[in-house]
Amino acid sequence: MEKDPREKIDPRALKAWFFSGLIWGFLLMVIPVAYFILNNLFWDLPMFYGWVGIGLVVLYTLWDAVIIPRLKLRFWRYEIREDEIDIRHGVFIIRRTLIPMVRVQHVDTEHGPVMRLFGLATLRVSTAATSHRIPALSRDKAAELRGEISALARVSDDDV
Amino acid sequence: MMYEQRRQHPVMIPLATFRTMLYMLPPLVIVMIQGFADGNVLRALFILAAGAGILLVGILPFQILGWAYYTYRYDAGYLHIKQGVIFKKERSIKKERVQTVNITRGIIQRLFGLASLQVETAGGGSESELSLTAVKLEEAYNIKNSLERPEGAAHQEAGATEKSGRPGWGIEAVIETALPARRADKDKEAGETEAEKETVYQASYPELFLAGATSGGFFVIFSVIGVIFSQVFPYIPDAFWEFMLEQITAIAAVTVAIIVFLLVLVSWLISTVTFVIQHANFTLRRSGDRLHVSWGVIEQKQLALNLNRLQALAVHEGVLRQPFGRCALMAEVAGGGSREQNYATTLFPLLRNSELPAFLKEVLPEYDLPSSMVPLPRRALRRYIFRAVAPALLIIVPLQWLPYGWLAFLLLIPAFFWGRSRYYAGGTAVDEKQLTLRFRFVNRFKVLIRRNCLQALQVSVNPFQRWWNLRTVQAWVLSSPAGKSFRVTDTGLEVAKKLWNWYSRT
Repeated sequence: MEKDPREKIDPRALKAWFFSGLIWGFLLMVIPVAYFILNNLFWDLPMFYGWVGIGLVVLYTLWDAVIIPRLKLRFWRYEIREDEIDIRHGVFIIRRTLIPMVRVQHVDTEHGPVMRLFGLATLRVSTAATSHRIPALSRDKAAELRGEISALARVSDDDV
Repeated sequence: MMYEQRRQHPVMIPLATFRTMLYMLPPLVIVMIQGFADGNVLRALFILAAGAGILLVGILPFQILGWAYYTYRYDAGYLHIKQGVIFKKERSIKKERVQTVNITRGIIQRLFGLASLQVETAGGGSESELSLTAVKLEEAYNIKNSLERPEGAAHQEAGATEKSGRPGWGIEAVIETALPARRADKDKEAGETEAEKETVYQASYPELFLAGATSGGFFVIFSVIGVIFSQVFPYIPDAFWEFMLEQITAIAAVTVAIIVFLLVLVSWLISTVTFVIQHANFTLRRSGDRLHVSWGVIEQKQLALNLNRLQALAVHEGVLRQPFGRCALMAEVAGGGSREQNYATTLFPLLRNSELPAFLKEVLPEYDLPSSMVPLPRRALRRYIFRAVAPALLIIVPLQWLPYGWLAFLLLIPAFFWGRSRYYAGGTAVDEKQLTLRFRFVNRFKVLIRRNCLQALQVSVNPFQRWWNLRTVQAWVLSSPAGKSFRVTDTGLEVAKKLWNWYSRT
């Protein structure tokens, strides 16, 4: 446990997370904007709350799209060894997970539209009981790892 | 080209569309009937047609896209699947991971010369399954053949499955209500032929009574009675209450106390008797690689499980049982267990703590009850107490605005002792083959996990834990319906490292 896993996730993740954070920000912005419009048309409440709403959304978007991705990128590490997968992730609570190869049931790669735009994919490793992901790998890397892991994930009969 | 990405048969599109529409039809029919009630048949039919049309327009494109973007490919021992229009997903299933391949055909599928194919891999979860709903029959057999091992190897594999830790259990998850006599005969035969060692334990009635009395089930029954009482309450005539009040104003408090006490007593009796009846003749038998559990008089239940389905043992010390030095033995079973017991299976309802090591040695020598466990470091105590006291304070502070609110501060005392006792319950032990975790929320658990049943291990740390050199250790095992995890909070860094290195294969 002394040695941290070696591999980092793709730095393009920063852009992808920024982009999806921004999309979220715009979606959230609908709420205070709707407040302004409705207020003009029907109600007569103070404008102040609308500005507070916008401020909160801007702060949250900054946090979610700029700060958190940087921290995530910095802390996320993984290493795929012959016998096991070692993942470290988290920003405040840092979690280190060990998954023996012989327990891996299957490996998936997934990507949504934003991830595809930046040529990224998420690798998902499932055991019989759990599911773990390594987000934002380059798509080639993800496919390569998927092949590698499913080849390594052999059935163990010796392991008692 | 054999190894190209393939799609399922396009007939799937109208079939799937039709099936989805059938599910959505009932509300339409209701609307139609309402229209029909007016006597306007034409309008009703129009509504139906329009509704079906809208559904068709809404569903068909999704089905077409779903069909077009679901492709599979099989080659060299792998099955690859790609799916998803916007959110894409790719999966490779290795042949060795495949448990069963089922081919089924319905009437409509027969009509088109099609079949559906289900590929099941070991392990729970809905995700692990793959199903193709419309492939040519020939193609289905091709896939099946390419995923299943050659005959000889399959036999060998099946033989190995029985002994190894590999989850080969899926097929024989049987809870059966069988005739006990017949069952015993069968076992006797097996015993004679193979001369297997057989161990039988039966729970005695006094012990069962104690188990029932301390099961804590009366809380449930008490609340049920309470709910019924509160439902009946409004229907009691006011005159009755006036009469009652006149009679007993002076001693009302005492009466209420007595009523509550009686209710508790009655619930406790009911729950105890129910428990004893449910668990009467509780027998645990180990013969060879199999465990047989049977219980009940009115409804005889029997559970047979192969040892390789056993994923973890849990020694469950209920808070009411602790004063009596008793515990129950539970098992996490892959592909078994019932919802009522939170999917854990009771192996034995009540044991003396002192008997437990001998009991395990007899029945489950595969598991080893550690004689001593590494306790949590002293510096973890304040964190445990803080975690118990802080929420209590959150309740207490707002109560200060009420009269006598200061009485709420008394809550701090039980909170303090609760945190303290959680701290003392925490512990870990590890030997060559087995990890043991001990922890308490209310009841104390000691969980025994063999290394080859441990699916994943996690060590986590928050900033405060980092400061104090503490870690949280979490271990996952396979259980039904999905995985289950056990956790010990605030172990020392050294202990966490030791567990990690024990589990790591490099």
